[in-house]
Amino acid sequence: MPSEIITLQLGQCGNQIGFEFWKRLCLEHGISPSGVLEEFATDGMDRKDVFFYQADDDHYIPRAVLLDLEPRVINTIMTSAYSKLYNPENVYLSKHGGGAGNNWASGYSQGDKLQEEIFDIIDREADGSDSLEGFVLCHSIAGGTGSGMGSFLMERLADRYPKKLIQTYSVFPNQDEISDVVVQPYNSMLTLRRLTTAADSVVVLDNTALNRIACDRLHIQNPTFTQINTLVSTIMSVSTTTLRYPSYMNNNLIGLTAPLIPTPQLHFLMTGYTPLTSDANLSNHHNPLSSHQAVNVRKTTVLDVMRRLLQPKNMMVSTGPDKTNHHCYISILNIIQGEVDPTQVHKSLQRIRERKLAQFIPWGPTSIQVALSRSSPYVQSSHRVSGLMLANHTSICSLFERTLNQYDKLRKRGAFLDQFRREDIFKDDLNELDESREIVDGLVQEYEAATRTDYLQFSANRRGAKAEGAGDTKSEDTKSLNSADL
Amino acid sequence: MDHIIAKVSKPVKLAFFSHLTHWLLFGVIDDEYSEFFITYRSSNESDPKTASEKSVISNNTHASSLSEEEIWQYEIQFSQLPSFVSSVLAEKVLFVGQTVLVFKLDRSKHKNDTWMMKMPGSFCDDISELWDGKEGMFCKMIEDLNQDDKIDIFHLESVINQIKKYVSQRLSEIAVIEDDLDRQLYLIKDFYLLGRGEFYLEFFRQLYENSENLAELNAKNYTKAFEIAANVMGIVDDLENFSLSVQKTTSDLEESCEFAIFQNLHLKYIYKWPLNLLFSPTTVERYNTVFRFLLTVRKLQYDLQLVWARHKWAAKTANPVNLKIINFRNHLMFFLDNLQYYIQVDVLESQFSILMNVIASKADFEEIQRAHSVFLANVLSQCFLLTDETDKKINLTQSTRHSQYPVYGTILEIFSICEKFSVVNCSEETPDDHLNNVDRLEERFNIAISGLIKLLVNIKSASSFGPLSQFLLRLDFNRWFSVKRTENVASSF
Repeated sequence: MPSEIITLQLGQCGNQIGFEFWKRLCLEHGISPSGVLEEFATDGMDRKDVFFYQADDDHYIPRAVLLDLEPRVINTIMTSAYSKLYNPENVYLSKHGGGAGNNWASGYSQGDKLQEEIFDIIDREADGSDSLEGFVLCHSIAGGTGSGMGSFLMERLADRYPKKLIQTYSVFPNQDEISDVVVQPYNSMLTLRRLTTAADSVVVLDNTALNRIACDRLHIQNPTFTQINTLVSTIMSVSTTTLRYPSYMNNNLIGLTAPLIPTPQLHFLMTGYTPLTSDANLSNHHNPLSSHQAVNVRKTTVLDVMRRLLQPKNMMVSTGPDKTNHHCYISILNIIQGEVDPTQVHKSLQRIRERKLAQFIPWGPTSIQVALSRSSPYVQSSHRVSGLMLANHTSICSLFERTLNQYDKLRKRGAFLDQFRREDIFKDDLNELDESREIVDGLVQEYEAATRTDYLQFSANRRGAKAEGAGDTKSEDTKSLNSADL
Repeated sequence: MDHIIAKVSKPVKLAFFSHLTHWLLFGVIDDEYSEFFITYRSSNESDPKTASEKSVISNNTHASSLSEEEIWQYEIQFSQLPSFVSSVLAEKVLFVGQTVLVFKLDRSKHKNDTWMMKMPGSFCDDISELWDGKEGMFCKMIEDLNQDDKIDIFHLESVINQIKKYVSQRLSEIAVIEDDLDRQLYLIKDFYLLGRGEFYLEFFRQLYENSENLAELNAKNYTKAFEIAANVMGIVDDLENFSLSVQKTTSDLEESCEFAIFQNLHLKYIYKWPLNLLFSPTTVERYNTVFRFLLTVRKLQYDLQLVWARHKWAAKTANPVNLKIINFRNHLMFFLDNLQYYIQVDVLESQFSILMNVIASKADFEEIQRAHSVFLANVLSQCFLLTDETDKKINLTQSTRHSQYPVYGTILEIFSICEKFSVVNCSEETPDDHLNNVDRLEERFNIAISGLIKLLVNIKSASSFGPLSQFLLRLDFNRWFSVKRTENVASSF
């Protein structure tokens, strides 16, 4: 099977969302928790082999590598009903089991030390696929393992597999609650740098927005991790449906991401999903309000879905209010599932355009692309039509700005830097932090520029300025030094 | 007077109804004096008028056996049509006879096909299966017609309608029950209309990734890549009745046009009996026209996506790609993507759902046949592929393309720009040459796209031709092209 994708789950958060993702895939493809194809699913026309491979004994095994520096989450997975699903050789736990202490630098150094063992697993997995298309990395940007070791792995992967795509599902921390990880802004900044320079596309999963959506839209008072992660697994599974089922277009990772990412740096994607219901597998609440809502959404039409997807409250990224109303869409892909009357798509597009429900970039052609996708025949949906939006929107930079602000406060005070200085990468100086800040700041500026007509000019100038800053514009060597920072 | 007329018309009537009985019930034309309005045109005929028709058929000889061809050689001679028979009625008469012929086809030659093995003896293979013992009743009906003093048009129509209704419902039953009509149509959609995008992606990968020199690709490579892709994707069962071949390598193809080779591809589908009436040689050729067009779009998209990936990866290295080039690439990708979404969603899915609704509503076979023709005609026209009847074979490399089919011609121009762009981006030339090349292509693209937008806007305002406005909406969703065009117009004053 071509276009295989290897999933790398790092750290507690990465393994948690990865776990939910595989549960969901098993359900959708009719694979039992132990990896055996259910009888009712034997003649399915789905493309299981993109994410699974078949062992000799007809077991389906996820193309997944589970990595962590501390055992808690992985142990939970390995004692769950799904323990036999994974290839035990693909589960890597550091021997000391002491984690990364929520310290990016520690995760990064440990990644360096463990890279041989880790890449033994990854290389073996890559060799086992026909024509590997890329890697999907699940992690959080704020902790130690997912952020630090994740950063290290992304850099190595880009080196080692220069012709494979690296996509990430990156969880951003919840801003509404006070984190017990004081160095979170440092961790985030350092990870953001790698997401900018080493990843090819980043699907941003913002815990702030996810929690708000769970509270406001699903009426769950104190959403648990599992409930939030179910939301995440919905996004992950729907955003990969065109890869996992026969479809006209977007059949591989390139086909899915290329139309969304017109310029290389602006590759941070937001998602939205509708209709959100507190259906059985989301929560077991049976309060009258949510069941009432579930009845309502059954009548959903394509237009309803497409219109709702454009409402900020349905976005899984908390971008904050856009006071000057200048932010705009760079690209949109809607993946629509269910009983869709295809003639309605055009009418919906027309309506959206007439009512100016979406604002687009002024420097190039763009539109709302609509992919009609199959959905699993084994999972009952409580609504007629549902849709996922993958969008490249300039307002995502407000998330990075927030990180910049928090970082600056901490950095100005020189707070909590000792634990960083202990690791190799910060042994001599803290340049790594300052460079990361500069790159992320550059990213914010580029997103801001993308709201203006002169974006291409801006972007070209900046590249020029970079080259000039090195003193000699003609020398390829200096150029390469600079661009390497990019 | 009436008496005299009756006397004169009696032998005429007799001959007419005898012909009608032969044709309707047995599919036989025994008409040595050419009296009847349905005639058989032998394929050996050297009549220049039918020569072009014939060549179309002979192109597809491998797609249909000799006896199947014969079905399509029965035609209505409109000059022979009695004044009391409307052309609609005549077509019904033709349909019934053709259906009978389908049942007379020698199905034994299919014995090796797996699908035949599955249905041994469930229907015996001759026309009694069609009539199911009712032929006597219909024969009587026609005899009764002959007993009328005068030719009673209403009576005639009602009898023919009854027979047609019976025949086509019977055919419908057999087709739906025995041959899983839905499944076959889905297969058609999946493979002729590229519904299985992932399969064709793999086809391209097999074709291009494993062959260094594109010029050396020959007919065998295409057929083989198709088969390997089916294997790799694990859908050999679905594809058992499909095969891809290169018809002939013509020398009149423009060398620089790589996608021109696609114009020689022919996808053959062995349909299951009794769907013969749905897949006339003309229909198969039309499906192939759409197939080749869609395959071309898909191929160009595949190439540009590879360019995208190359640009993306270059951004991580010391030598990022010039932004101008990236920006132009975006324009090209945008055009292809939106053309693709327009075709797949606005055209194919929409038209297909209409067709499937007809079938789901338990339509008789003639209605299905009609819905199917309408489906195909709409797909062709909405893909801008509908051409003159005289020029059935669309020539992608025609130099006079602009005058004849403006929209299609412009789309082809952009195709050629896309292709050249992908080639330029693969070659190892110096950055300056590269930029110059891209500049030239961009200029061509700007002219083409603004021409296309203008055309679409003009046609749209001139008539309410839906499909064009649908394409325009997608292409100009954020008004990028139309605003740019107005700016250009404004600045030229």
